[in-house]
Amino acid sequence: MTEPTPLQPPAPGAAFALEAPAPVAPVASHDAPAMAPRVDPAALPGLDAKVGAYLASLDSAQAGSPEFAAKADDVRLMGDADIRQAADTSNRLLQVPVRELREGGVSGTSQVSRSLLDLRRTVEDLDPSEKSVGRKFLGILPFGDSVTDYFRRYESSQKQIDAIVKALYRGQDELRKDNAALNLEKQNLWDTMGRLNQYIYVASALDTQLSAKIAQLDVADPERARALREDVLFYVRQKHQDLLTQLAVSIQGYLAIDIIIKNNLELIKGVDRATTTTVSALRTAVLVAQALNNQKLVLDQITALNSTTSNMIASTSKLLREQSVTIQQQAASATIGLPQLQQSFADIFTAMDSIDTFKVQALDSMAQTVGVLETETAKAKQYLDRVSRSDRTDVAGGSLDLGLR
Amino acid sequence: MSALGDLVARLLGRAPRHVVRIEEDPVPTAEQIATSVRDVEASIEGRVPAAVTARVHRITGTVEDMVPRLDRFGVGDRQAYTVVATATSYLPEAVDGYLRLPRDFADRRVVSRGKTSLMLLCDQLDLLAMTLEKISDAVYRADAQALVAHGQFLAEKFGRSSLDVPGAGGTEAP
Repeated sequence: MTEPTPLQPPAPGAAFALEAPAPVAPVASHDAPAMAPRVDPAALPGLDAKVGAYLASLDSAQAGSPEFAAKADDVRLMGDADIRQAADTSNRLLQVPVRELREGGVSGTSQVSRSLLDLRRTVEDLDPSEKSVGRKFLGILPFGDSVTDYFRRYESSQKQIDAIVKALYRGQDELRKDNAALNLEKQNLWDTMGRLNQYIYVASALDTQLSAKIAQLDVADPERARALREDVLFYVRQKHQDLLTQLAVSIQGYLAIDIIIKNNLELIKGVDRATTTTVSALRTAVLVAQALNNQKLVLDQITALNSTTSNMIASTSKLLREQSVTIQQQAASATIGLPQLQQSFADIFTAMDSIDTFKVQALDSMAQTVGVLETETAKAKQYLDRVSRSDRTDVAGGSLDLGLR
Repeated sequence: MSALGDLVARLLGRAPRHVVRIEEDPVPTAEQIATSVRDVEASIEGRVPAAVTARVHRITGTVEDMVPRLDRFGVGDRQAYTVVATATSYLPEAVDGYLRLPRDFADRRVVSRGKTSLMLLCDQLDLLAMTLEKISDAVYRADAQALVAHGQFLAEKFGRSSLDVPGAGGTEAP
């Protein structure tokens, strides 16, 4: 028996980066049943019984009789309602990534995007670079006045920064609400795909058993074999293909929703980073102002309250706590100065830059996804047209209707 | 002195300070928050069961207590945002979602995991109330800490040590 190996401590934090998910790849229709929700084993006997009952009653019908034609109809209409519903949902869902491109979280018009732009402009204005604070002359900071002026900007900017940060929180809320709605769509789609997969099982079983029967009849009763092949088996195979195609399109819609949900989550992470680095920079500014100029920066109390709201105990408050410990220590040991403030501003720019990079990648990936979805949905539409041409009311189902809805 | 500063700035080739203007929506004022709260209370009048009314009043009560203390939170504080967003967004949206449904459907039909719309609304209101109360608790506790500290200051300044001999220092114990 080997000694259990101790866990490795996590690697020191890598540079902050957001990851855009890859675009959706086309799903081949023959791969679809394996990707979709599996047929519940408990349902299999019922499905087998239905197939058996159908074939038995088909046996008793004379070729060319109205009963025979009715049996053939049962196959043609099998699962139509579900196919139509899946197609409607797919068409609707195709609009979701298109909308995301135009108005979603990663687009330029979203609340998050607009507020990040405002944040960037405000932070650039406060940036403690040499340009704004003044070049050192002979290693000494320039006239006390310009340093005082620089720090006084914080007091006039704080309302603005507060508004921007709150707007970013609002933007995060929008992304979260978007995700909640998308998760519900995913659930509905999952249910639809499950039903389609059951019909696919039935179609496949019918194909196998009918083909065997036809092979036998080819010798004994060629006329009947021909009737079965042309009037029943043909439609079984056609229906099987329709179902597979529709399932593949639904799967793609499902994957596309997943991409949008992931994009939103990454963006939420990015905004967290941008807001915590901003608040942290303000705290640092207070301490640096005091250290440099003995200037009491009159900003509102920035230290967070000691509360236990559950989602506050996340990386955000942890990050803030870590950063405040560091700067308090530096202030106490009189090692805090402009470099520390410049570093905290650099952190903000890093956060905003990584969000910008992510958005470019995400938009690109989304555009590719829309392309794939449009192609696949167009293919499915051909099959759908055939479904709608068989113009029967869907109130009364055929004998192969699984009654799942 | 700042005129001299500007002159020096120009001589040294630094750009003059400019003011950045942004068009961000301002943070809602206390007045707007109060209006939002009143609107919600008016919208539920006579239209919801007592269970909902009680929960809504619990939330609006906490919000009204917290609004005068919002300036205690710092710049960009998430909890201040939560309090304001509850009044202007989370609470109204939950209530509106319920009010849009016909009363019969909302109160009796199961819509998700064995719960009716009414039960879902009550769950959401309970969650909001609990979250707000955690935040307000933290604020009041911080105030209480100030009182405790003051008591310790007074005790240290005026209290007597257990080792003191009675009658010392010219003050007689009553």
